[in-house]
Amino acid sequence: MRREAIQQAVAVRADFRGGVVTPISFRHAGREQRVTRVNARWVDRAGRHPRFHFSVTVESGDVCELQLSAADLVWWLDSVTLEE
Amino acid sequence: MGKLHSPRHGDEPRARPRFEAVARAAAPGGTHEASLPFATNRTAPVQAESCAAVRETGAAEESGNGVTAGGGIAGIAEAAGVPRPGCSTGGVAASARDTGCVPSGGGAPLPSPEAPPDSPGAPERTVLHVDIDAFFAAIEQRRDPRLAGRPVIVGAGVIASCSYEARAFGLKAGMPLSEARRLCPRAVILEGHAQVYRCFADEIFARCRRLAPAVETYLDEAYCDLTGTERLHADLPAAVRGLKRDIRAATGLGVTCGIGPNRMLAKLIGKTVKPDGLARIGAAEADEFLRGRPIEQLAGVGHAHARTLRSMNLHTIGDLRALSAPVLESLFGANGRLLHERCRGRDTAPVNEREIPLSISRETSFHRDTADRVEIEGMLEYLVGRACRASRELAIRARTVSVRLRYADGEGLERARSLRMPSDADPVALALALDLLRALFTRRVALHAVGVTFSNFVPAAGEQGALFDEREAGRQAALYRAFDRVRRAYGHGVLVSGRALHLKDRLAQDRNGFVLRTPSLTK
Repeated sequence: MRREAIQQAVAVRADFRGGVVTPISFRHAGREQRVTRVNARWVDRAGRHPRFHFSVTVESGDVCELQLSAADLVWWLDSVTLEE
Repeated sequence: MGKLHSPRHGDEPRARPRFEAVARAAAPGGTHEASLPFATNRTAPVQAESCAAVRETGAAEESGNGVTAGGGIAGIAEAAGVPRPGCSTGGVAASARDTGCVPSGGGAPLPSPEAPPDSPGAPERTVLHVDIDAFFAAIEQRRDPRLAGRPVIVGAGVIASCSYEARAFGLKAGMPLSEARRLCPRAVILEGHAQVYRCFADEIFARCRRLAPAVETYLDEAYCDLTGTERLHADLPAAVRGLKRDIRAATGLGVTCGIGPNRMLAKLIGKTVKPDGLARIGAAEADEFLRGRPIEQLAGVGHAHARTLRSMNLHTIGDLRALSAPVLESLFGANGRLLHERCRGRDTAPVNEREIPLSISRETSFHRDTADRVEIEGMLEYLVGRACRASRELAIRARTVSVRLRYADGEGLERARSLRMPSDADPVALALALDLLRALFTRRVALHAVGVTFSNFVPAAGEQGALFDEREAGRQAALYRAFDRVRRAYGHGVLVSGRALHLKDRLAQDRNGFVLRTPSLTK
């Protein structure tokens, strides 16, 4: 397993029903990545504004970590974990 | 620690001892993570439990009956949630006084609430211990489902945490990774990230705080004082089962819960039903439960004490009862008196929401052993800065600073000194820490690790400085408060100063600061 840091802002489609944020797909490197599963979610409240983290599996089987910053509502692709 | 009390007399076997174990069988070779240097839970590491079947039976659970447990644990008699004749489930305290019923199943009337804990007249305490199963490894398996069912190790240099699949190969926390690779070549090894783990822990501990008025938390465990909540939680095991379900639904993580009349017993009984278990022990069962347990499992018996006791042919907690309190005190000092009480199942340590910690420590090993003073002093400044920031956030100031280091050949040294005035300011603590480092680092051998500990805290508002120092102290305080505001907003790594700047070209950085040798443990 190799976790590759990406740390790039990405455009994300998300579902906000019931006050719960669920990423559905995101665009990275010119490709639309559809989220097939949200594996885990956690909230980092250490800063002034909370940061919502999501570990998701995409169609290719890769596991990516997305982050939504409540400060500026920008989505970030934090990392991709590749099976070696 | 709470004050000690004279041995309780009249500890007659209760007519209907109450014990409940509702759990799955423990994983084979299951081992609790060893106590980490900065997880000041003050309890001895627990040996692997070979727990005989302690099984959850759905029918029994639904009917509220207790479950008979194997594995040497005292038999269960009284069903959870089934009131004794004459007792109501709600308002237990009041009805107990009226009818002579006692929630824990004894025959004595409810004692005065003013009596100290663990004394004959004291109300029985109820403490819940919550332990997150295979904490770091379990989170990594959640983050990446491809790791589910595989042996997973989190750590750098040594195992900080490993999954139950890895434990089946004999792996356990504290084991060097080289040995782990030899025992389990297929294990996936991850460095981990402490901040992620803290987010999960915070989520779990927030749920514990909904259950109990006082919760004392550590890295991967919490003690919840449920004394006096009988009206709120008429069926305590059911409430704890609800907590477990809530935690799993929110985080995907399993926790093991132990309920007992004090912290020590709550933790020990939980250990017998790991992982994802729930067990309860009453005061009446403590004697038999503890008697045959290895001496290392007694809270306060570390490796050194265990060696001493085993050399005296004392191998079990029951064996320790042969020594009187004065003998134990002569052997182990003040700790001896605590051991005298604890081996009899008595532990008066309260559950505290720790407003002022005993100590704040920051330490790390180097990626490569180093004798470069620039790097060592830069790392020390960085660690001092982190400890000072933690102190300011808790509004406390340290009186004592200690520095410890470990040479590459394994020799460890530590030295402490007190400040003239308690302080939370980086320059003040750093000046003393550098002085201690110069006194310790005298050999021509590279260093493997360095650390700093602050202790003997006072509240920040309480101390009066000398007149001429106050103006300068005020300027410094304002400067570091500004640093803290910036770091809270943008991450600790956004500001690096002084000697720590030398680390910028040696260490990776992220939002939380430098990525140290053991990211899974980095604060």
